[in-house]
Amino acid sequence: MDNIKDIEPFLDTIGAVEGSAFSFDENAIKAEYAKQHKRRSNLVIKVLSIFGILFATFAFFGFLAILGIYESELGMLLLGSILIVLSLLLNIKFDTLIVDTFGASIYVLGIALVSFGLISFELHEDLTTFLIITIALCSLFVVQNYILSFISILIIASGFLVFIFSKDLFELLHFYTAFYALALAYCSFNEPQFFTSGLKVSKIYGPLRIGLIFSLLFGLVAVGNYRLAPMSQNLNWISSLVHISIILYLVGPITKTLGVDSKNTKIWIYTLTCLTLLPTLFAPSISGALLIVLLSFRVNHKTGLGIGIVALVYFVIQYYYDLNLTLLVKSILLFSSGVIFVLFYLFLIKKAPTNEKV
Amino acid sequence: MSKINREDIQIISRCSNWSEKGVSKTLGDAVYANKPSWLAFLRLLFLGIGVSFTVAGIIFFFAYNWADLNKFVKLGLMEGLVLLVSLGAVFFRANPLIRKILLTAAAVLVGASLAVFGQIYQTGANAYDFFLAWVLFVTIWVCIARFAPLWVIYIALINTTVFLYADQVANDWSELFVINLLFIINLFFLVGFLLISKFNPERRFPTWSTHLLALAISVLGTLGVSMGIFEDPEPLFWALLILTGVTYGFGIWFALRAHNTFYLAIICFSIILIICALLLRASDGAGMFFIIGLFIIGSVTVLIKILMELQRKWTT
Repeated sequence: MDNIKDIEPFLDTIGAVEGSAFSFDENAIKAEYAKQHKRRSNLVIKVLSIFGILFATFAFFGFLAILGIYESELGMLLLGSILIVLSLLLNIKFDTLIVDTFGASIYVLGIALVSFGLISFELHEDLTTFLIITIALCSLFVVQNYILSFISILIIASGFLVFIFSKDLFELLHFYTAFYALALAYCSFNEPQFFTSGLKVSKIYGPLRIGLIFSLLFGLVAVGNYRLAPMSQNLNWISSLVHISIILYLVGPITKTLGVDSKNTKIWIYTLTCLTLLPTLFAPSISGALLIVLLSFRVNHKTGLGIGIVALVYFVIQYYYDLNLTLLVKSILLFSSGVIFVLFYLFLIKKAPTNEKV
Repeated sequence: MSKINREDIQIISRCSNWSEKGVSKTLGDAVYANKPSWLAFLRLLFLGIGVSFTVAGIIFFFAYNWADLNKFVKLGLMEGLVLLVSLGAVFFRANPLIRKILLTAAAVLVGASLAVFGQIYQTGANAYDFFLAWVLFVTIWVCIARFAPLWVIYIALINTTVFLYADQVANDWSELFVINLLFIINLFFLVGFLLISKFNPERRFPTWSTHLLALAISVLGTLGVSMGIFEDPEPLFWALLILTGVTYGFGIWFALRAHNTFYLAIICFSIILIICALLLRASDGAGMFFIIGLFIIGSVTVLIKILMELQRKWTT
């Protein structure tokens, strides 16, 4: 809502539904609206700030490289630690835009310097990864700033990936994608729980959701590209099974929204969904991208939906390109599945001939 | 009263004892996808996947074991397919979207049939004339289809043609000349799209297509001008600088009129990067890198602040 006055009738409606126990802090709501009004941003602004932070961090890297900081292990470690603490303190003390951007930039720089410093000290790489993940996790609990939290979530995911790749334990990627798919699904299905679990959890919900989407995508890219992660394709079903199970779970709320009551129709829908998803059992990146698309569409998360669609197109193309089959078999697979989808479409327009737009 | 959104629900739940069940119901009623949205989404999803998979399947089929087929059969099959799909677009009158998607599929198949031609007569897979022919043969369809995805494919083909022509034939064209040319071509289409959208709202181009073109133009402008800064100035650099300056000027004017933060963001970010290139040209010492870092943070912050202010002004 653009006007705070509009919220008053809505608060009355909530009060009527919730009963006399419902209470709210009017001043706090007004303060939140004033803050939101002042700091309202859209996707363009968020992407712009990410790019700004990225370029600024590169420039600072250049500055430190010329100064020769990379020749001193202790210097990197100390400066990195100072920068991380400074960025967290700045974010706690000040709530201004310039501090947000500057803080995020020196946070990334700090994490990188600490990582380089620890590696230069010849500390075991597992311990280094563990320490970096811990720092990012602690930052997440200390500061709930959108960009900083988003970066921390990505650092944690990158830490897990570094662990998997450094040990050549590529099979663990299936557990990585399964974990992030479940986390994203939990986040998506339990949005009300996040909103009502206190200020910190509520604030972290936005960056957590988008961070989980990107973290899952990292895993899907790795699983879907055998050149990147050379591993047996025989275990691909582990990731896919989790994705497919979540999609099947999602079919329940979708049929409910569509008003499907008949048991027979539900059985048909579940059977067709299973049959449609079955070919993706050994293509976890496709089922994962489809999961992102469906989860994001359900909760009306446009950014997630856009990312999911682009990922789906990319993974489908990559899958068929890499598929170790003759072009004739690929052709039959694609053509037959295409015809099935067109039949689904015709069935849908016959059963529900409406003209609504998305 | 305006409609309640996710941010409202989040704020109220933060500052009250609103129950989880109540929040869940409100999110379900006011924010989450409803029945018409799901139906429209599933229809688009099935149709999109269905048509693209079927077309891809057909292309893969013809790519298989090509050598065994007679060249006239190959060409005949491809042309027959183009004819079949385009006739489908002509006679399928029930749904305009399906007609447009069929025409797009036909346009892609033209490329496939030209590739077959190239394979038979060994004209080379990357030859610019392959893309040029593709562009020429689908031009009329692109104009009559009025379908943004087809336009985007068409513009991408034109860009590829120019790039390959410069790479394979016009060896005397400098990089800056190619960037100038691509800048002008994309700008021509962007201005055309915006003018059509303004004067003929029924044929309005979707925002994503104009934004994509504007992004391509700003990337070309930033790359070209930054490259020119680090090289010895030549007349083409000054031409690109003036062209970029005028385009950005009009872009800012248009963005302010159309209340569009996207154009403002990409133009200003491009200018920030060009200034960074200028600073780097002046000195590449440690101090300059530090100044550039601070400059980016300061300028991006100011830009975000201005964008937020404008957005607030435009939405109230």
